[in-house]
Amino acid sequence: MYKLYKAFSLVCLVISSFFLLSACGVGNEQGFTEAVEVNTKNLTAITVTSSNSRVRVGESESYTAIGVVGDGSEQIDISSSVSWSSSDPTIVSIDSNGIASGLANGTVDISASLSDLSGSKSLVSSDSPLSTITISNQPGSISLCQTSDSQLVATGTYADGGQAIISDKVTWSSSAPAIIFIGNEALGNGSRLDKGVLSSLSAGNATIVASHESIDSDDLLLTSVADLNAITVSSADSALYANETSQFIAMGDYGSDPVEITNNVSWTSSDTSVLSFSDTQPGLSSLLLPGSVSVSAVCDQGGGSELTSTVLAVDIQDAVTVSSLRIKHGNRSYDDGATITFDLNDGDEQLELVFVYSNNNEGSTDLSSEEEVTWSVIGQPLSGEAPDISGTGVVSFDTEGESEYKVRYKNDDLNINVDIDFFIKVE
Amino acid sequence: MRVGANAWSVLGILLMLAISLSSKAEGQGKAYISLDGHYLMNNVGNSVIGQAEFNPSLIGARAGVYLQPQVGLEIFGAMGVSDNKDIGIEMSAKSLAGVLARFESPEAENGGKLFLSLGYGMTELEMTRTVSSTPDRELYHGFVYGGGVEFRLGESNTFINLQGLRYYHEDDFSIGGVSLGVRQIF
Repeated sequence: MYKLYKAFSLVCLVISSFFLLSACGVGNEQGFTEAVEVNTKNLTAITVTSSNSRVRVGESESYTAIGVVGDGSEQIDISSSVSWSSSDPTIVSIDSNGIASGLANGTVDISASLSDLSGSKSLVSSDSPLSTITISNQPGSISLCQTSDSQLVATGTYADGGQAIISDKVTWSSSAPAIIFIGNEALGNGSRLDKGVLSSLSAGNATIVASHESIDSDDLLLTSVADLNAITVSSADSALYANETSQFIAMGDYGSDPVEITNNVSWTSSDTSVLSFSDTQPGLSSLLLPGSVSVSAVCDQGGGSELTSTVLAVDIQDAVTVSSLRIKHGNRSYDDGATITFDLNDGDEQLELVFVYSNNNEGSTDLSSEEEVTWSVIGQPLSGEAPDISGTGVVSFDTEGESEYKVRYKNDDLNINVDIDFFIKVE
Repeated sequence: MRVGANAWSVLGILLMLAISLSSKAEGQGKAYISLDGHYLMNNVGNSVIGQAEFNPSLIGARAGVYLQPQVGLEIFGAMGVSDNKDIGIEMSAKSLAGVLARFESPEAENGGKLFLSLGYGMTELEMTRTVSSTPDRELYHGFVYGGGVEFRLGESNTFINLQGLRYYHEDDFSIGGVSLGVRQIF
């Protein structure tokens, strides 16, 4: 027997050594996690987009991957989830953030893939020098305290005749930034600081120029018109509750349809201990305590004059608490005690879960997959077989049946513990 | 996957077993085999990308030998017998194999004992999105650890055991499982 165990131990040592030597060949879970993401989000295709189909050698172009959900009625940005690749990395390389860099002259396909889905777009890389810059999307004139409806667009024309939108690459400048301010930060969000966004700060004229690689565009002369008659402020929320935030909106009366000027006015509160405005996000308020305050907006008209809005009286009510849960499936909602009916021919069905608050409002965030949520079956089936329900609220079944279930949201940190019972019936 | 940590763990186990091999004690040298049913718990994803859990089943066997009265060295293997499906993805465990060192507690009067298992193993999984039918098969190597409880059947040398093992773990991917087995000591 001693010989037997020595021989067996030798075999084990050999096998262990094999594992040691092959330890560097560990598995790759990326394919599996990608498949879960594709199915969880119900993605059916990927579309690759970018501002341009051309990139200069030595410069970069940003790509976005759009996931098509289901039948295409919804699209979501999945750029951070996909794997980016170039058909020829010696011509154009692309990093994990979807930033493609031109390395040599040529044409490549830029691809984004997630599990077995992929999409691509052609990209030309060229070292042809920039010859002219043209500004388009011009507003003509801009009114006081107004941000232009759309950003200025800079189009570069190259020596080989090719063109590309270079709005985010040029340097925008205003001859009189105190009159007309132009954003020059590559934010990509259309805010007043974003590249090419115009804001009127006082009445007068200013010249706008776009510059890149020692090439200047033609001067664009713009006029800021002092035709602001009045400002009206309102809250985006019908009711305000303590411990929340609320966005206020300022509308300017320029003699025709009102124009939103939220970003170009300064906001004041009569009692900042009850309501205070953000220093960085215009019009965004923090509702600190229950109470009444007055809110107003002021437009600086230049030369020391100001135009103040109508004063808005605001009542802030007691803080809202979570009172219950609500299940949603498709366009229907189910409260405590409701029965959710499925057809036997349906596939796996995802239930969504949202909060119901003390003011009867419904939360917008789907909680079904949150770790604080537990889905469970209660007791024996009422008829047939009990449909299965996963820990993320996915119902699956292959026979008729009905059973009772409970879903609970429990978060000790937030002191929330609510649950509802419901029924699932497959017929 | 921290290969270095795994390699050192296995080296440690081998060193410990080598020391055990250097002397012969009472009870050592006994061989055993076990037939096991495995139920895997494979968690994939996170709250951002979505989550799924797959529970494929396997049957397998293990064979081992006691290096010391309460220290065993065993190899195990298993093959998949049932797939599992979640969120439209079908998961099957193709195979499970590895080497474990087994450390037992003294047997209680009721014939029960606890044991710990440490070693190295590999798990081969296959995942198929049902809408694409293109399977993705991957082999995972990793440090395996776990433990269980075992009871002697009557006065025989046959034991029934329940064991839990962790086969692989990454941030968004883990493979664990429980097994129920019948073990015969010769």
